Amino acid sequence: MDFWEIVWMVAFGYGTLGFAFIATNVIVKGFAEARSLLHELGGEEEKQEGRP
Amino acid sequence: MRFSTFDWTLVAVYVLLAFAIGMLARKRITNIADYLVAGRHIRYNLGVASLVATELGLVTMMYFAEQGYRFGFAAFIIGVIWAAAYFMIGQTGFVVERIRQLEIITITEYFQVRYSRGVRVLAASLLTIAGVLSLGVFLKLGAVFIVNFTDIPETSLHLTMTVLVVIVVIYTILGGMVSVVLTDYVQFVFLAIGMLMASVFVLHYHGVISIFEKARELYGAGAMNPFTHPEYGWTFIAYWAVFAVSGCVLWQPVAQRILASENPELNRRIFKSTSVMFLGRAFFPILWGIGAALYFGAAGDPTAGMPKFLAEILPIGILGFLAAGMFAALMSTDDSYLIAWSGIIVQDLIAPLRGKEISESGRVMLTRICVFMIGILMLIFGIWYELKDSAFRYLLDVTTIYYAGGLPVLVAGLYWKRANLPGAYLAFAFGAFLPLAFVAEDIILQARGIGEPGFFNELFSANMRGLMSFVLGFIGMGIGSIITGNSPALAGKQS
Repeated sequence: MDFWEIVWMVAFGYGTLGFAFIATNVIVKGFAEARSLLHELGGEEEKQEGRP
Repeated sequence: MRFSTFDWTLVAVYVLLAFAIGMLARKRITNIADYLVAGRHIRYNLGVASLVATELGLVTMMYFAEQGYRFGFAAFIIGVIWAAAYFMIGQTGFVVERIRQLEIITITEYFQVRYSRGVRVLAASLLTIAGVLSLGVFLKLGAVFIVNFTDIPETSLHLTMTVLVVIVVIYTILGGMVSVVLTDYVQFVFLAIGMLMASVFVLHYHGVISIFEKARELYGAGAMNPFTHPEYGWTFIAYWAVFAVSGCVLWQPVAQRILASENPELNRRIFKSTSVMFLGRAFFPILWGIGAALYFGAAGDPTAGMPKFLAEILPIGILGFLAAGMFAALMSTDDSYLIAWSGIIVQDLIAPLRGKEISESGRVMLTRICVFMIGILMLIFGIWYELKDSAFRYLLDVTTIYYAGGLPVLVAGLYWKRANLPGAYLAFAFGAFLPLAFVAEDIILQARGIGEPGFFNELFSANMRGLMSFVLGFIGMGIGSIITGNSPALAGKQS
């Protein structure tokens, strides 16, 4: 194996693990934020219409 | 080909989900800030999902795979530099922190605050040219993937493109940025899982270690080193590094997410996390492209090779999951770009030029009309235009039209007190000249049916042309500002 093969192998491993880790976090916690976004925008709409 | 009814069902479920979200989001839109920046309510996880999903389009997979197919592992350098740029910005808050504090809707709006309305209109015009020219290719590459991956007859390519445009335009018009961000999240789920699974199957097919050995045999021993690679080398690395920084701070779909985040500090966190995701964003499709090259041989089609290869090796179910993810990638990128450029046209071209105030509902309506018009334009251009070089090269050129002037104008405006109006105009004029002349010449030659490379094609290599454009942009800003710097009428406003 030459130098660049090792570099790309390590980089690929790091990229894959990092991708999997952050993706798992984002998928799990992002769902609650998506619901909250809809709720907040809906809340503003209700305020504008004068509803409680 | 083994694309089954079950796989089609998975794709259909995703499309229906996207429409449902579009309808749901529509009810929540009350003003232009809701429509274009989701009311500035985007938090960390949704911000990361949306930023990654927007920049992880089907077109991205296709051009990265094409680079992998043609040039092997050396193409990984593209992902490394891009990730480094995001990390650097996340670490330092360079540009993104100051720009978010200004509470603006588009980056070009800043050009008016700092320089003048004319600079804003010029920047918006260049950005619209760059955006619309890229969008046509997005659609075409998306359709090439779907046709080759799902075994639809190749004669249906244009029909597939038309259907794709109709779907994307409808739900973007319905829900604006809210539906875009929410579908980005759904796309993120499908695509992140699909990409990881596809990469595992590619590595399983060729072998984790032996894929490197096979690649060495196919591309040659020196092909791993990007610094000495004939396609890349130092000029490309320098050009791509500046381009990547520009992409983080200037590209409207990315900037729109910076401006939509809840607060400036959040942007830095989002950029740092996204930098790691962007390694995978480049590495996975490049790996698939290399896998396809090893499967079909160097003489195969570098563009259609990756989808054909994946369709051959992936099992039923995973095939459908990845197809839904890819379909989602196409939709969420195209919708983000449609909304981004429609926003630019309304906020930065129509509104400043009209002079009179346009009501909130009027702006939303105009933006929706622009989404429709750009959809038609991208369909016509996508069907007519034939790429001469790789899609990656074409997209670099068209985007540099805006970046090469935009970067010095934005950075100098934020960090250099002497930056002024003539400097801004010169930066845009100098920076846009080479790539604009190259792309315009290419389109004219194609319209005339001439297949020969034009004057600007032969003047510099593609890497040198790009690098020179940025250098010229910075020179324009420097010369213009220093020579005319003493005139109070031309001095820039400090933001």
